[in-house]
Amino acid sequence: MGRRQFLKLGMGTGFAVYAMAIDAQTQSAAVEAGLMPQQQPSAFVSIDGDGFVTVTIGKTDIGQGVQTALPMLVAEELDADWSKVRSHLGPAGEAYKDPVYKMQIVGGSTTMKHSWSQYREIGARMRAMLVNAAAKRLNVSPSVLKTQAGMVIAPDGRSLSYGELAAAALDEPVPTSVELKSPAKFKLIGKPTGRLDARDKSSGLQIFGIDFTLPNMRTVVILHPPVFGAKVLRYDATKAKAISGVEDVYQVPLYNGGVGLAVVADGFWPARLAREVLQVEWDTDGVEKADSDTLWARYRVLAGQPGTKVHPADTSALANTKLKKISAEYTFPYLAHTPMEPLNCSIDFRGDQCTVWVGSQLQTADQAAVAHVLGLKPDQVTLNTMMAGGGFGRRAVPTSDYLVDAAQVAKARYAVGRREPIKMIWTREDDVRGGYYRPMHLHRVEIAHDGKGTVLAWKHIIVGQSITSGTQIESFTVKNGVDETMVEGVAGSPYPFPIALEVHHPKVNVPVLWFRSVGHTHTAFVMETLVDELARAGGIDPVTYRRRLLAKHPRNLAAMELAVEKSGYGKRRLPPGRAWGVAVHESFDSIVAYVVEVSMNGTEPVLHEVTAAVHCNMPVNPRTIEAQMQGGLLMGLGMTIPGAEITLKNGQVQQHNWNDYRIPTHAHMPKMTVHIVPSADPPTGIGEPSLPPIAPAMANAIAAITGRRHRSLPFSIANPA
Amino acid sequence: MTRRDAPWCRHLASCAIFLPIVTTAAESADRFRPTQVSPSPSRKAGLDAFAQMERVLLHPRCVNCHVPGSPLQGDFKRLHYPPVQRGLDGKGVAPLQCATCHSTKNSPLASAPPGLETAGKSGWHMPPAHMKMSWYGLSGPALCKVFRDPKTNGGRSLAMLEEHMATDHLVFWGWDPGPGRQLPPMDKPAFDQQVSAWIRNGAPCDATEPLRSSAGKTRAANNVDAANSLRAVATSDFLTTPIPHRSQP
Amino acid sequence: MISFRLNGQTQTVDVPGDTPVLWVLRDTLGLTGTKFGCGIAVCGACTVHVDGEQRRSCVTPVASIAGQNLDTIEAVAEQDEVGRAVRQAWVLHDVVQCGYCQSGQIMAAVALLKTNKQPSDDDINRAMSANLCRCGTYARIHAAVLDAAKILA
Repeated sequence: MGRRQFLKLGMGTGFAVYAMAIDAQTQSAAVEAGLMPQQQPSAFVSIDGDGFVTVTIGKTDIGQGVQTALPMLVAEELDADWSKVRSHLGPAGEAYKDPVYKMQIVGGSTTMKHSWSQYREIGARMRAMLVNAAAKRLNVSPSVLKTQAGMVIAPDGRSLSYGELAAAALDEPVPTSVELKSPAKFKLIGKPTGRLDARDKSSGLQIFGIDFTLPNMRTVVILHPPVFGAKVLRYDATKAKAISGVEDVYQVPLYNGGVGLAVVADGFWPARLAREVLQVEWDTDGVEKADSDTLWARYRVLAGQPGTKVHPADTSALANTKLKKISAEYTFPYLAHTPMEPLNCSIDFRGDQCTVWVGSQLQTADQAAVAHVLGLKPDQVTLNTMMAGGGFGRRAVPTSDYLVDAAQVAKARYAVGRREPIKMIWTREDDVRGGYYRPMHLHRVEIAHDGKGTVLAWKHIIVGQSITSGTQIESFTVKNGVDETMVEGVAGSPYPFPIALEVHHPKVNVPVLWFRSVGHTHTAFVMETLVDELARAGGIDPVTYRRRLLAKHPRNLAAMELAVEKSGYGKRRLPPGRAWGVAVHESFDSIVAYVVEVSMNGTEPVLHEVTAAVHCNMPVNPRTIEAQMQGGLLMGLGMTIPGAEITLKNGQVQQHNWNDYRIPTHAHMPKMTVHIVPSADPPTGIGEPSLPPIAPAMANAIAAITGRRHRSLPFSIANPA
Repeated sequence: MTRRDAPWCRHLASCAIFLPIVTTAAESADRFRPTQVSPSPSRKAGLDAFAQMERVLLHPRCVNCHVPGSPLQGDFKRLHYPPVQRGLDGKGVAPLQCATCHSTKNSPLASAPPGLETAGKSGWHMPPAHMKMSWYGLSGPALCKVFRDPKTNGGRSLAMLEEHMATDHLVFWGWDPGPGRQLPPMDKPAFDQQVSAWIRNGAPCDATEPLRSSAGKTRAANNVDAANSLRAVATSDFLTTPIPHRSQP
Repeated sequence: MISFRLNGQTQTVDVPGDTPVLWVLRDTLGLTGTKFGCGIAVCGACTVHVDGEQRRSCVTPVASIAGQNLDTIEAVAEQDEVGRAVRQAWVLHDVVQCGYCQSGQIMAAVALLKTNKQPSDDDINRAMSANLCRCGTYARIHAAVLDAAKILA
């Protein structure tokens, strides 16, 4: 690929204002044949004259810490001065596509795993270019030069800073193959490193998508139909338009075929007030009015019917009356992600070009969706990635729901001659009631065992909506009618149980989405409580039992043994009324083990202490890992809290805001220690694996104290069974 | 009142400070006229009236704050969320005071915290810790007695109780609670009439106890009386006559 | 026209008196450090200080702060002695993740330390349980508040 071709490619992906520093260097970057845009240092690293290194990353930081961890990968191989490293969120662009998923996406706990070689190689390439440039200037062979903390150093002591060399380095050919450091030589990777954005975020200085503004910008709030997919029949906006600051009210088609109203005003408050006084009649004919009670009844009927086979197994032992049986039905409600920053996006539509600012987890898909609405080609849409106030999956929507709605508003305004840019903001009520929930699920399990821990038959049916059917990733995740994102954690379980697994994927008029740890949010609860129950039925200690079951899984065992060792389980007597609970679960290639101490305060469990161990191969930034372990634990604990459920009645969501959809508070956080299993293997994920095992660990401790088993989340007094 | 009946006032200076405050309260008392007990009260009429009052007193708009512990919230009387405490003065525990979230007026948004203004600031609070005035979980005679007894109702005579119902900002708020909140089961004037009827009929709480014969004084009237007696003391020969020491037993 | 002192300087705005202080700050005055999280005062992302006391600006009508002192995160984290100690502890403990709730968390922590120089674990739980964090940074917030108290002692 020649230089000209690269420049064409670079400009064709629509690098925007934010990437202007990169653009300037794109002009002078030479390119080596065979390198993809994702491998080009010029798209990721820019060094200024003072030696400040800006690492542009293709992954959105939604709180998970990639805006520090990815620059660490680059800086390690680059031998940069870490105190001079800054990070920057890259726009939608070819170079920033995930090398495995081939789209720009943050999710699936894959950033470190997929970026491990990519970003290190980029750092190594940049280093090589700096060394080559220095070699020319110092008139020595590159092979004698060393690099350290932003300096190239010759054997005779002469040195040149990266700042001095930056411009010349970009004229150097980009080496295709580079040698990476061995982990033993790491100076940065593996060391606890403070976040690059810590100070700004602790000073009110970090700009999020919702904070973005342009001159004359208008604020948009949308009145969504009360039932998914319903349409405006009639409306009267007289009162709304009379509110000072309101520009107009537009009827707009919504992403899912529904029709809503968009209030446009010169600020959020007038738009919000105006929306309150819109008078609307809705047409709810022809759309299913989902109702939780009706759905549970429907799911129970389905669970009694044969489903689509995931993998068959012999269940004839279920008829053997001499064997012991466990028969259990588990239920899990819809869950809303509710990231702290309400969904929002800003759009500046110019007719033949459009710029979008959004904290998206799915930039290239969102770029294409906005383009489609506006009748543009994707490369006519510049999508700038903003720092996002939490994602948990909600900001990765295959249909680009809220962006499509905002683009419709931009289009409607453009058609009547309005040119001001818009910022669409969802209220928290819009968010809680706006769908894209973790689906509700029902599991029905029948187990035949010998009372000594050996399982002879395991029949398992899972009922739940398919998250990915009908989306652009369906071909990756739906195989033979089974959505893998629903069965993960049962399918592929390391336990050697003869599980005959079947599924039903009912179609329901409630949009659903992946919620941090996806299928594992419910499958881990079922598996880890049943394993506990099998152990106790056999009079076997639950840890001893797992040792037996996981004998062929050294990583899983290592995580469990570390948690057991550090917790004092089996060595320490607990105060009266307190019990141990254990759960070990693998998801996204990492394993998390929790040993918890729980007591009961009446009917309410009190989680006193959590000893956590994680095997995520090599830890890149142990501080991030600790943070993600704490955060995932809290979110998993949150699933047990009364009020942590979305329910529907006659098509309408019954919850409104955090007053009636409860998430955990400061007082909920238990004492927790995090231990990382040492490893030098390429990193696996940490965004999600810490969520699944906490609810079952708690349920197991509760069962040890009360003798009763929770079979549904959130925990309720009515249920344990 | 003779000088011996004014033991609180051995020092003229502190009494003099009292006078201006008392005069202002005396003015505002003019607007409210307490109901007097009828010379021929009917116990049945009084009990009927209280049965009506009870429907309001136990309504969420009132009982949510007349509780023994942390406040309740909403039409379903659930525990207040976020979790908060009363505090010593009933205004919350710093730094999470009631006024942190409850401002000077109700919000137009459903589920937003209600508010009201008292003297230019947020007037939202519970009864103080030393006088909780809680009747949550009570009904009938038990509720009535807690409500009526000055030891549990903030030192209020019947007249003061009636005045509180008729004029207090927070009581008024019960009938202007903002969107999404149920109103009490009768309108404010009807409630005020029931209070009046109860007092007029001797403020009975049960079938057998003696009926009350006097509604007592309102706070303002109490203060006016105090002021008058202070004036009497100030203008008497009290100051020039030595106060005899009480002899030690 | 409504006047108040904003971060030490007199500020006058021409907006309806019922406009919440949050939107006066964010939309009228362009100060976006104070965040919109829920609009009904249950999450605390909008926390400001009025005459030294914590207030949730999403439900505080701007008319109610006329003539009063309004302090926001931008000034408190940078110029206030307690705010600077809190921020120092926040960075030391790498508290933030997405960071969106943290302006409110810090403002709440500052309000706590100004009323209670040596808060106990229970004091911190009680004072801070009305500030939500979906990323779950509470453990580090807790440690940072304890450390900030030590810094200030």
